[in-house]
Amino acid sequence: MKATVRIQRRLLVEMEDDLDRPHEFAKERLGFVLARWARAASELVVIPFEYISIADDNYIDDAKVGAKMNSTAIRAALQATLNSGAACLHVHAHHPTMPFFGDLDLTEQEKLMPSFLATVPDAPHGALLLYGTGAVARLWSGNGRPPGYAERVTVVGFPMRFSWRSS
Amino acid sequence: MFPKDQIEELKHCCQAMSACQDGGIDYLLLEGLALPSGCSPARIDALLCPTPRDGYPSRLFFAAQIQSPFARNWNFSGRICERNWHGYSWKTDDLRPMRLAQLVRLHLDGLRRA
Amino acid sequence: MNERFSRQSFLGPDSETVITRAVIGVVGLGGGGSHIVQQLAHLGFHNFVLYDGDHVEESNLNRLIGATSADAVTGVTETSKLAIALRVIHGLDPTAEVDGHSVRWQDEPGPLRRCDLIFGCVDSFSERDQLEATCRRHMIPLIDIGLDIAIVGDDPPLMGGQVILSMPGEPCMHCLGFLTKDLLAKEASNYGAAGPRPQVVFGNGVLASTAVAIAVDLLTDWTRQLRRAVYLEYRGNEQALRSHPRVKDKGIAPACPHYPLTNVGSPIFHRL
Repeated sequence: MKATVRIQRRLLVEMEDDLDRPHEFAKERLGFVLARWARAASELVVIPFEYISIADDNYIDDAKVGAKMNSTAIRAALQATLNSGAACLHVHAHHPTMPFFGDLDLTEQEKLMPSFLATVPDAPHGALLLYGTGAVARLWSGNGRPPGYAERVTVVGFPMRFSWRSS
Repeated sequence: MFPKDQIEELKHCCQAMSACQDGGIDYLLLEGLALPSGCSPARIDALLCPTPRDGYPSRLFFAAQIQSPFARNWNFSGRICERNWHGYSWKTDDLRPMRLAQLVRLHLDGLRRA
Repeated sequence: MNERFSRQSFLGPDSETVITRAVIGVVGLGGGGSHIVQQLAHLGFHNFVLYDGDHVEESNLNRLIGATSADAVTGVTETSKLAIALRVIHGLDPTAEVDGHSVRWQDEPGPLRRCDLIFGCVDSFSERDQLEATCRRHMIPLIDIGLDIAIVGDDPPLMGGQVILSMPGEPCMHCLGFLTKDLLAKEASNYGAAGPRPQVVFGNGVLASTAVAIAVDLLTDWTRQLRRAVYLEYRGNEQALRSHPRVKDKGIAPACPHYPLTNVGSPIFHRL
């Protein structure tokens, strides 16, 4: 199913500001964002509405990866997902020269998603990558089908910004 | 959003209840609300707005226009909480604060009285 | 760059992509909406979602862009306003994707949610209120236009109107004081009483062109100056368009309290 993610600019700034903060040992930061959704004819619209920052203490020192969160962070995100009945997108940021999920990102997503799908089964959980000049999102539909990329990620606000998946 | 005791008072008149917010206003969804005799259908989903709206101290919207014993001026047909609703013009001069069940009865009175 | 866009390359290197890929909704294809559709088609917009359930009448010909006298002939197949819009769009781009609905948007709301931006060209405050609510829920900027001509006794008629950009997260039409409980109440009490309203092509043209200009700026950011909600007041008697005084005086709240960010997507009904 075609999907669009629409992020209000204030929320984007909140996410970017948090992900940009230095950490004692992690080379990058991670977060989660809760999202609601709606059907738009044959398409899906996903709208993030609440960012969940991961506390400094919930990172694991692992030099082999850019950042690693512990089970406390994941449980907190799962609890927020359950409480809200929302979809949950794992969020992190790359430099604009790397506007795509890396192999490790994709592997970690595959490990993470089943727990969220079990928590709120009909929600389009997934992952969101911010890369400065744009964003990309990968979403699970929860019915056993493989995940797909959102056709576009739009920042709504002043200015607007569109990131289209290449056709 | 709504007082629990007032919600309890309403439970007998509909099949299920839930609360929703739209445009900063709180609404109460009454699924399968029982309508006065002589009305068609006998039950229908209704949406109660217990606070002032459109110049009315409260409003009760219905999922469709209702056939009632007396003709009513159906002056609202629009979208609230992402569903379509219909409303007829009905209010009294009684501006005392009312419990939710009283408000629902007040609006249903409009379907049974001339 | 496609030669078609060569004269508007000043809109930015990404403008052709944005214009050809954005999905634009137009609710109401009458005097204002038909102008907007024509301009969007000329600009090269390619993806449309359109709504209007009306058909062309003789009295529309003074302002319905794209309509001809043949469209208003009664007794034969009636021409819908949607058909006029399709004709205008496909006359300029036969490949344009137009998802058209000859009904009220409330009766088929799904396609509207696909839009990146929506123009509201509707007739009442209540319709504006409903459209804004759905746009806010689905995180879609809304540009509303409206022309009003008031006959005031023996004085010259008063022509006025507005162009409002309602951006999710920013002040809404309630915050801007354009929609108020009193206005909605007054309109509800007059329901069904209003007859045909005076309307004219040049007033609609000013508002439509301004709305399209705002939309293009919003989508391409070519001026790099559009950074806040817009509420323009049209004073037709003076041929003037200016920022509404209410916007300057009020010290608008930075975030809209009527449509909090948590109220997005399909409504949440909390079981009681």
